[in-house]
Amino acid sequence: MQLQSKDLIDLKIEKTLYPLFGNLSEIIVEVNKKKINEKNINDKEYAILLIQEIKKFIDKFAGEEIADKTYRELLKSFKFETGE
Amino acid sequence: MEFIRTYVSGLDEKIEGGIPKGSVILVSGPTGSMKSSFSFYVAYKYLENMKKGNVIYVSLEQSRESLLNQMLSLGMDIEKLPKDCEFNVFDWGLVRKIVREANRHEEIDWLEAIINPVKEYGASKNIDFLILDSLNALYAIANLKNPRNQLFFLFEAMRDLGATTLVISETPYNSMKFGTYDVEGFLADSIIHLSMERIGRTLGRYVSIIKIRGVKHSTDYYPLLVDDRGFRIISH
Repeated sequence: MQLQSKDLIDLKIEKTLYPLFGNLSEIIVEVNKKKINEKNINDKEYAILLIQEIKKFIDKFAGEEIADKTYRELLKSFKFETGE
Repeated sequence: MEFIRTYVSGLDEKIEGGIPKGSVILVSGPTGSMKSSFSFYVAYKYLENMKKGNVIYVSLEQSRESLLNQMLSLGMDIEKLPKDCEFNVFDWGLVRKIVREANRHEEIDWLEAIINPVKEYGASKNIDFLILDSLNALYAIANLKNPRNQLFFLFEAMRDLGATTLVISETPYNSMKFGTYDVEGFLADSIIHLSMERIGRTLGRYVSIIKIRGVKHSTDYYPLLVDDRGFRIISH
């Protein structure tokens, strides 16, 4: 099966999360992407929405500071403006 | 050897001024003996008095919100700590929930998963205190095939972080066993035992220092009181 561009986004996010979550990264992405309606959004919108969901998850898991740090790393990995 | 105060009034004088800095300390006792509160208190008071530093509390069962509310009721509010202090609570109940939902529990190396975020945090910041709450919850999550070996490596990984580490272990009432596998007490550098005893219609709480590796100390049990002034012992 050929990878779709949104699958590559998932993999990139998993890679960034790996140092923090190890082999849990894949599950974290899998669970959080279910919260996003992928239809009618482009890749950039999809990546931003997924990153935001993951930020919310890490905020609940470990608090604001680590969530913010990971959020910045995720945005940086996609070379998006942090806007913070 | 450098010692860190526990700020449990009266206790530090009995143990050469506190607990050994950078060592692994087993905090054992039955349900209700205040193991979590005691451990949180030691780390919280450290930050409050040092006015800087970092703590990681790894909660494997109790949610972050419930734990912080419980500590708030004891007068410990992490939001009121000085600005250079970080008290981080890692809520593993949340992660366990999503892993269960994804039906992927068996795929996870839980020992590695739990220590990973701590190592990652420690790579950029100094960790002053690490609290693991609890070994019993860890045993329920991770299916340890060779507990003696796996616990040895877990304790070594925690020791390598350089933080003063409090590892909570729940034991039965009136027991002198400090861990499920009888090896936890040996692997730790120190053991603090919290116990409870029925006195008439009430339950009294006690604390004893069972061992501090390389230090001579009393092994007496002291009544442990908790009130709005914090934790204190009654010294005889």
